[in-house]
Amino acid sequence: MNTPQRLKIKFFYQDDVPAAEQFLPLFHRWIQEDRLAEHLLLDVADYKHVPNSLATLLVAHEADLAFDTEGDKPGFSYIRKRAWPETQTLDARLEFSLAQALNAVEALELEDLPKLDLESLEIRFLDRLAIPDTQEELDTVLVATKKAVSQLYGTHDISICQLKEDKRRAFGLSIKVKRLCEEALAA
Amino acid sequence: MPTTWKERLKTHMPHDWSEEIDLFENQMILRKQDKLDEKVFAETRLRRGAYGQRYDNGHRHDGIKSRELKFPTATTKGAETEWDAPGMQRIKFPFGGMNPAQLELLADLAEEYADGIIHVTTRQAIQYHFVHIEDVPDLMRRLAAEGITTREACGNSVRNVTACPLAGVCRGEAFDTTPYAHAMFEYFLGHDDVQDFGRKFKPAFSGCEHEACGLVKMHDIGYLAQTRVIEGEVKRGFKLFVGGGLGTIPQQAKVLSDFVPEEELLPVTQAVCRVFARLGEKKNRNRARIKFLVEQLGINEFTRLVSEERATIPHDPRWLEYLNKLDRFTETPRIDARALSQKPELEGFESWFETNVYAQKQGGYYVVTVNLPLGDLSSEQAYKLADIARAYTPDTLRTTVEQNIVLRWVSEADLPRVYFDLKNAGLANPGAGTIVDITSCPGTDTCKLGIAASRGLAAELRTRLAAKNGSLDKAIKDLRIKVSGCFNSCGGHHIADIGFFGNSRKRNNRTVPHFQVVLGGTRKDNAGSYGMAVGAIPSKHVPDFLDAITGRYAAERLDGESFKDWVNRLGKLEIKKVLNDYTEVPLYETGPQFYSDWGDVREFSVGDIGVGECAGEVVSLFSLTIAQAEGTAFEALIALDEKRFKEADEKAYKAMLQAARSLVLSKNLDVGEDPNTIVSEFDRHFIQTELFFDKYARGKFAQYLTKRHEQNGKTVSEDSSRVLVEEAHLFIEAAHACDARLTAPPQGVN
Repeated sequence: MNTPQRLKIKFFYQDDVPAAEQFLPLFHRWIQEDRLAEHLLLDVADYKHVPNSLATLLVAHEADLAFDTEGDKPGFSYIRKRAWPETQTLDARLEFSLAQALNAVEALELEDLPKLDLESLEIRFLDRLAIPDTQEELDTVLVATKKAVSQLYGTHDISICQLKEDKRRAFGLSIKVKRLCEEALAA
Repeated sequence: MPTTWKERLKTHMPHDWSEEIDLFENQMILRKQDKLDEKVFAETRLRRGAYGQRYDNGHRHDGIKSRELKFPTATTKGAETEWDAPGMQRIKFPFGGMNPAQLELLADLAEEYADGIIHVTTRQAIQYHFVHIEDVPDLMRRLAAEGITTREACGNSVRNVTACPLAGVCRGEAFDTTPYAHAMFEYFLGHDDVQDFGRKFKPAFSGCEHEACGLVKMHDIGYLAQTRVIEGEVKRGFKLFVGGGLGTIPQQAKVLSDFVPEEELLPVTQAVCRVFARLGEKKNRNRARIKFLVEQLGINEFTRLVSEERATIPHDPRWLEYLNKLDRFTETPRIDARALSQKPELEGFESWFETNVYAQKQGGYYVVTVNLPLGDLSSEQAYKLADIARAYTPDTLRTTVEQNIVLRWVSEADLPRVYFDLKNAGLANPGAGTIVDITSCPGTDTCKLGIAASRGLAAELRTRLAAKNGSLDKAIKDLRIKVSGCFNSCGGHHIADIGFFGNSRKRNNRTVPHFQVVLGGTRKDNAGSYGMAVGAIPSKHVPDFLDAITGRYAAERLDGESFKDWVNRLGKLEIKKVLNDYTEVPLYETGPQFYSDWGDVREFSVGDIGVGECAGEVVSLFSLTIAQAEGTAFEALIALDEKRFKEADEKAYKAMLQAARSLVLSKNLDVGEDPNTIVSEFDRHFIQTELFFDKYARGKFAQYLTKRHEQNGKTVSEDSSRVLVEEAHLFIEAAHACDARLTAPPQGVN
């Protein structure tokens, strides 16, 4: 299996969901304040008029961050695009993206917005060349994902399943972290 | 398993398209090594649809100060254009035609290489934004594997060939223009005669004269379908218009011929292209569109030159071949036409039906317009739309110049189900073809030239108008609004009843976003007349001004009076009075919102306006074609390194042929691609004349090509291929030197 070139990690809102409009001034301010370390923040794109989209987008050189209305539930997504760590492995990319995504979430948690449910997330491989084709490859992806999530969340109580949906969609995993270790996350 | 798209799609792409993309990838490598001039590379990428985007000069005003964007890669992809800066990728869809599989691919690519959005342009093309240049070759390969090209989607060449989205199903058309539009696209794609324009060249096809249809009168070249009875037989042909265009100085196209028979469509167009390439302005890009040449020469002289040129063009079998396959584009409905037995009780169906559904000339079938706000749809929506197209149509989708998508051949009985499915996809917005269906160019969102936020304004107006759509007077509903971010009219503000284009004014020591108001344009009669600018108002006043002007029109119009006629009757002075109520800008302290643009919370600034790439780079034909030779020579080098000696030999030979052709083109534009012709023409013009000869080496470099040409088919060894690759590089250098000698100013001239 190829190493994925683009990974999307989405965290979901529960009942209390912010409006797309709230992210426009917020993302512009993040650019002014250079809020995300290790990211060259470039611009803000407004697609709130498009249902099921990355409705409000903060574009960086390395990644995009978005208030995300795709799928059934709105959430916040971190999409890693480039500037990967030197180790070109699936494990390294997953762990790195997840760490960066959690950093972005941490910055978001400081804002006056509804909170995300961090115990439930989705990872999509936005790279159709890198979709696991065999059971062996799928097992490798599951192991690598579990390892990355365990590492970052500080728990092994994790359930992962493949998103069984429209076959045209990029390969994705749904992840539930059962016993979230708050201290590990904060660290 | 293949590890690259190149490998995986090798056998799925048309061979020449695949080679073209490989070449571009190699030119990218050469540019990164600083072995290819940035201007040549810029025009090279533009001709493949890879455009620059706002802030790609490495600076962005964040509302407080201008920030330097420190991209990691040091090189550039054009003058003042950072390599790593996100760009726009434009994709050609001739006559806007696409099938569900292509739409699904667009959805895949949007999320893998762009921002998840598929954007329909005002010329039926598709655009992605925020694309990294390094992703472009694979993006192109995946498109090519589905029969889609980005070639000449930008740059100084023939752009997307547009046509009425109702072609073939329209109740008023003379005949279906689809196969002609496609033939035009195919014939001129990469054609030698369209590589040396001073500016872009936009063709359009119309099936009927009095509707908006293909808007042929605002195009560089326009074709209006006509039939004539000649010797008792109905003959197809086109009324041919040239020299139309919007831009800063709009021009109505002139009639070059009342009737060009279908057999003459391609050769006459080719003659127009040759005259434009030869005589069109190259240096002053503000006057380089064909409209200026037509104006300068006068239509009679221009027509005479075209006719003279036509007589000199060698016959090409492709001029007629497509005429035997016109039925290739005939669409067969998937479902039999069935009538709707009763009015469905679906919320919103009636208003949607009223505006978004058009009865085809084929009884029982309808065209459904999917009204896309600002021309945008997400990947998720695109998959759903592809499903709908598969379920109800013969896989027929077309984009429109109003930035929408239409489904054709929907049986009447299926309309409620189509509506229901579209609604589930968030795609059943009513109001297509009405005042809420506002078109807009990208403006300051992504365009380097944008002055004000055209999309922001269009979104705001749309939201407000949609909210009161039910209560709007019919006369108001029927009006059309178009918004451009600057005077260049990419949003088409000149042909709207009410148009706006962005500018700015200094007020209270700050820069305030404004929009110039343009009133009274006409889409009908193929963009029959253009509106007039009446004055500028602050962006934040535009919605209130719109209410005022449309309210007066509804109240004061005479029975059946069009908006244009009402504006003319009202007169400029009275219009100005309406406008004057909306020109004031409060002090920053009391009205700070006036100092920001719609949809952008930053304090307004014009500091981010850059150098546009719409005009492309003026690069000589030699520079462009020799760049191809350099790319091929580089491929030969790679093949040699990887011990593919036969391929290295062939690539090196091809590179020399391309380099020789680059020079020959200056003597004979019709040289074509045949190696024998290239070598013989090269011999005639450059060897026998000794023009190619080096002062010291004399004809040595020329012999590299002639020797290899004579030895074609001989056994290749590692040594022979290595020598040939070296010779190819020397030959290219000699071609450069020859061009420099030929184009050097005479001695004594600075």
